[in-house]
Amino acid sequence: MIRLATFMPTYFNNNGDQGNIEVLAKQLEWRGVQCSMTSTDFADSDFLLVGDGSRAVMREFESELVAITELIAERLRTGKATLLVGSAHEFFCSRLPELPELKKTPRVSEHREASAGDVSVFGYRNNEIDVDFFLERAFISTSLFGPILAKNENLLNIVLNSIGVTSELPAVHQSRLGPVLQGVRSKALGS
Amino acid sequence: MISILAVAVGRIVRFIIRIFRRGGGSAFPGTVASSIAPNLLSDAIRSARKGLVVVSGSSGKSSTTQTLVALLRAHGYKVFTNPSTANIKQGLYAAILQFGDFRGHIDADFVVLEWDEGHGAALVESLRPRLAVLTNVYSDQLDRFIDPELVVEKLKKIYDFSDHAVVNVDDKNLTQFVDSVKITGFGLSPSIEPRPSYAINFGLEPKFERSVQVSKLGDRSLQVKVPGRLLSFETKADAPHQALNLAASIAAVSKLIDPDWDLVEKTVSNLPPVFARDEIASVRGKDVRFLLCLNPTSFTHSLSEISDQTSPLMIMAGGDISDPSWLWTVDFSKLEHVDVVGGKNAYDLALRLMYQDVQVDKIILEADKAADAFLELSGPSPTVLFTADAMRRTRRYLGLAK
Repeated sequence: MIRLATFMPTYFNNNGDQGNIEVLAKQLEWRGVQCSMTSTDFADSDFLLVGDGSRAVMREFESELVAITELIAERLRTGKATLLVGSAHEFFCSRLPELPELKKTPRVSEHREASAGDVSVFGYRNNEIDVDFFLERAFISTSLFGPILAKNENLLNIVLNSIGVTSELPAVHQSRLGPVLQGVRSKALGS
Repeated sequence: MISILAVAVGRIVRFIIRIFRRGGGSAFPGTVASSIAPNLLSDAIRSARKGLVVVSGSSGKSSTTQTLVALLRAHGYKVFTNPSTANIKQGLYAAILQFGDFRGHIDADFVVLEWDEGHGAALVESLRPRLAVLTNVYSDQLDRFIDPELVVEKLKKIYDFSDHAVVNVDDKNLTQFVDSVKITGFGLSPSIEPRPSYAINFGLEPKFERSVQVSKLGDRSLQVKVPGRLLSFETKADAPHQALNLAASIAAVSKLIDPDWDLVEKTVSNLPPVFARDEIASVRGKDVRFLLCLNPTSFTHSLSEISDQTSPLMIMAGGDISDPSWLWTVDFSKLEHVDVVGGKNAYDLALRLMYQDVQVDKIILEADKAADAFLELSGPSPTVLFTADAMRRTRRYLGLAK
């Protein structure tokens, strides 16, 4: 049983980031792999999502975020499948020295490609920081909002491999999703 | 003299654009005119005898404006307004070109403008509205506004520079910055559920009186309580957010004039829907239902309004969505299939639908081709859900634009 966890999904879903959990759950379902979901027990989860929260949300739940900082640091050290998005990316980058130090830049709102090592992804960014994408094994921290796992098959596969999913996506789903993913990419990047 | 030149040039540009694009060309002529005569808008508004009223907020601007204008006109007042969704600065200038005289002056008692939050905040200092109607703050258009708190800042500025404000007192994003002596409150009766999901706010919830209160809704009817009277309306727009738009209009009209309440009831009950706000239009011999979906709230509401057996069904996500990520906050799972997914963001919408196991038959980016494919399909309940850009393109192509 794969355990998927998400931190306060009601509040940390500014730009549809919780879609990433839906993507993983559906990918597992299509592959016939059972999973459970929790928003309270993060310690033993195979995957943990902390989405983007508004300014009000970040102020209100700062102590809760501080409380999971050591857990996030441990997941980073072990490269465990984790996805930090938007304000969560900024929050933990400012507290964990192993994550990139962010510098302020003029705001840019656009679809863009970002890479870490030989892994390249695309998504929508709308902020004032200089690092859009960090990847250490299956630990991801990014400013690219929304369903990044839905749009980037390579990143999705990194997460799935990391949580021990080896079965292939059935052909019926592959053939449905393939052209659509190509269309999403072309529209976003104009290629 | 400069105004005459700006109006003349702007009208020529508008005329040329409309030769090539029927129903199009609302913003660019306004840009041209405003660059020639920056005071054109403020001069036009000052020529109105009873002042400027503005309607702003995340959602509900068009419906509230349309209803308020209808109520004032029903009482015999001349009202100048901007066409629905032409609510940015250039659109306001374009409205002057369209409806003003050769100098850009308008013959009106009231000017009632739908104001985009961002553009309105930039204009308010020079235009100083007599009344501002503030509808709500949603977590919406984050690709543009970044954070709901920045929308609150803009609405607060509109409030600060207005003489009086009609305010949704159910939304604490608004009530946290207003003063009881300067507002007329409207809202839903506390017993009404579900309530709209305003932008998350953990601050205090100041309490204000609802001078106009929606007391009952549903079953194609609404009841609205005003001081000393209970008004009843027959309307398709009976959802909570739609009832609030009506309450806002009624609160505004009661602040501006001494209304004849019988006339208010009659006018609202006979009001046609704003285009595509759940409207049925005859297209190529078919009665097609159009539902405009501007944000997650209206998308969710529109989905609740249609049957899961709706057929044929087209959903369009147009180029007005910079970042389609918010489509992932909308639950489409009640649908089994969508015949046509259209618009510039069709692939993003299709991806969202597929992850909810909704079957997608065709994906067509171009609005005209999508409309043709949709209209070829047979079925008992042809229905289109679309965002604003897709609505404009489809409407223009189908000859529904004026």
